[in-house]
Amino acid sequence: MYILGINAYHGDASAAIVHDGKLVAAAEEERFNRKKHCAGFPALAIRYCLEAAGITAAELDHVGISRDPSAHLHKKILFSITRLSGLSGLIAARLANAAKVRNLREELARSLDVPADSFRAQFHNVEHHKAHMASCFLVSGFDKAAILSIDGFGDFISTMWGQGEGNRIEVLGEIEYPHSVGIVYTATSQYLGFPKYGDEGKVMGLAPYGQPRFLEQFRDIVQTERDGGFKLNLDYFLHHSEGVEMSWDDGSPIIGRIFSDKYIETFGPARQNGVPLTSHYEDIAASLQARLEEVGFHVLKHLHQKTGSKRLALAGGVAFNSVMNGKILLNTPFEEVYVQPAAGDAGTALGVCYWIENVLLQRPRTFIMGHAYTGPEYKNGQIERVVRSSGLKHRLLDDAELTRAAAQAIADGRIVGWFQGRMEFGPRALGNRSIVVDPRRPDMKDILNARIKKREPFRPFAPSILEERIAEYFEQTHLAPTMLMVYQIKPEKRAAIPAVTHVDGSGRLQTVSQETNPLYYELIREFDRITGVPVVLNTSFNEDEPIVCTPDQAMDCFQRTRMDVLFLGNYMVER
Amino acid sequence: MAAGAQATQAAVHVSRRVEKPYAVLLLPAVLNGTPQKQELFLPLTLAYLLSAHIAFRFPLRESALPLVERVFDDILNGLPKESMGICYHSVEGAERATALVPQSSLLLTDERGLHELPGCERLPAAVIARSEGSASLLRLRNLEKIDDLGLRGKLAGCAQLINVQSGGFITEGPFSLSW
Repeated sequence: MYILGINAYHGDASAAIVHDGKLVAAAEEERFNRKKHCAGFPALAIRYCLEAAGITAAELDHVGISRDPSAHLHKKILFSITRLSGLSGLIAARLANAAKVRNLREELARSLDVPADSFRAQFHNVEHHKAHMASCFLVSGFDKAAILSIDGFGDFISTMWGQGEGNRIEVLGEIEYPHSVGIVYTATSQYLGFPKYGDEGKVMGLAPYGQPRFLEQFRDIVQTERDGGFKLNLDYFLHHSEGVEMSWDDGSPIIGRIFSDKYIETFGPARQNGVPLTSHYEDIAASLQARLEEVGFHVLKHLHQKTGSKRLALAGGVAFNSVMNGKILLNTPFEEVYVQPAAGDAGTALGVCYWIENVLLQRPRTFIMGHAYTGPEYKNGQIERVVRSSGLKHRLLDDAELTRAAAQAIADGRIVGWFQGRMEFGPRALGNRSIVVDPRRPDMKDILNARIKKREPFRPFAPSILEERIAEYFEQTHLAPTMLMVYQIKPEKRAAIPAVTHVDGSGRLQTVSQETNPLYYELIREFDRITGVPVVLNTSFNEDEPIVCTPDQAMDCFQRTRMDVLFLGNYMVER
Repeated sequence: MAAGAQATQAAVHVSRRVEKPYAVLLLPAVLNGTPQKQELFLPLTLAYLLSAHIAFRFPLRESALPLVERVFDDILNGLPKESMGICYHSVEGAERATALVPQSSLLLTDERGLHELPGCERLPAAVIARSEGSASLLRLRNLEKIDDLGLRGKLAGCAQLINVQSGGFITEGPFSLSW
């Protein structure tokens, strides 16, 4: 049985395909069409999934999308009619701009260039947050767990929590529009001069530079409630009165201003692009992060009380806040946390598949998502063409030579492009589409930024560490294979790996196992043999663009930037 | 008529006295069958919203009333009390219920209700229907016969909101309705 899951018309459009319970492929549309966080219909990702499964669309048994128009429909209508300024206003304008409205069957047919009646599949709508919940719990390996889905909004809900057991997911509570901590984070990021979709991570990186001296103000902005929920002080926001404008002209989503003038009254003028990030703005970021953690732990403690579970499955865009994630075990009664690698909206495509497989069809749960390597891969034969046509000096190595050469290059201070195996699903490069450098050099962060990444200087870079060595370097030892946890680096080790130690002594680590990525594991082990440090700096293989997907894109990035050496499959390419 | 929940009475004036013109909310589920809470949310929400412009008559079996009132309680929680009234009519058969329809100015019903009402093709009507994917749609009929422009506009707006949501996709930019 083949099930296709789709996330469309949310940020990070994506597709996933499951065959008899096993995940065959999953990928974001942005990797194929090269439009960051693409929010359209994931036609290319769907084509890839079908190709990876070796089937045509006519052979699909089920197709689902992580959006249920019927879910909370009456609330959407009530909200719009009673609280917005009439249909002649914003909504009418939006509707007038809606050139075409189609259903999923027609849209899929159009994107694949096949007749709509050629599908034998059943079509399903799965409510957004139920898809998130399915995306983490059903592939977690937990038989029973508390589940929290927390993001901006989806199907009129910002936060949904519940309990999973076997094939059942029970919703225990939810928070409706317009109340959302995701929206608070996005609004504050906009205020701080980071308006792009996905910029929230920058603010998380900025927060450790500041002091949370505006925490009381943020406690007024987001107020916790005794039942474990929270609400917003809507005076600070526009989205409830004017709606959240999300447009995706030519692919990438753009979100309109969410914060109201009350932010400016409270915190002073919003930071404009190019204005220095003073301690004032750093303190606002620190206060936001502190309040997010307070609210998150408040929700989680109540969820633990309601479920009694020691295990937690976590999803939604807010689950990308790896600083908060890293503190969950320290601040709540939970003892195990599973965060699926594509925890944001992209992962809902996966959730749709397993909602259909396990919840609707009641087929047994047989799959555990232990890694994120579900995207396209390219054989050496395909890579050879790219290497030869580049005209660059190259050598074909076996795996042992490859990891030794790469580790030596890293230890020599060179910037290494590392393109291997299947592309990662989710926003993190986890050793298959990575740029890897020496974490021991204090200047490496600046070198990377100057030569390739061009990121804001306050943003940290992440360490990959052999999983069995985590206790030597980090205060916490719960494994973090998807780079979605930030832990404190042991004080005595910070000087050893300065390029991946953030200003507060933390690191957003990836624990690497021999089982899930043997080649990357071997690379780090070789680096350890040479240097005595089982850690490398790992950043995504890109230059202000989506992470590279194909060998051509990797070669293009290599030639465009000042990377030193590229390991493209088994080829070592140098300038 | 049994007394309704207090919250409902506080939010919407419910009485037997309704002045013309009036609209009829006709739902076979509350007349003949065993209604489910979920299926009542959308029609009762629409009735509440439209009742700001026109009084409603709502025939139903007495046994359905507690559920109807619970749904109204959920819907009206915290909303402004802008309504000309939704008047329950206790009936035990579809025949008596349909007798209200010919003189009404607007019929709000579902596809099953419409099927049970032959000869009302010329009446202005808003019909809750289902798309292939089971999403709700609102079909409007004879809208031009409604004189009240406010009511007409609200009907059109509700239909657009529901149908855009239920269509689910806007394939060409730039805007979507995002919640």
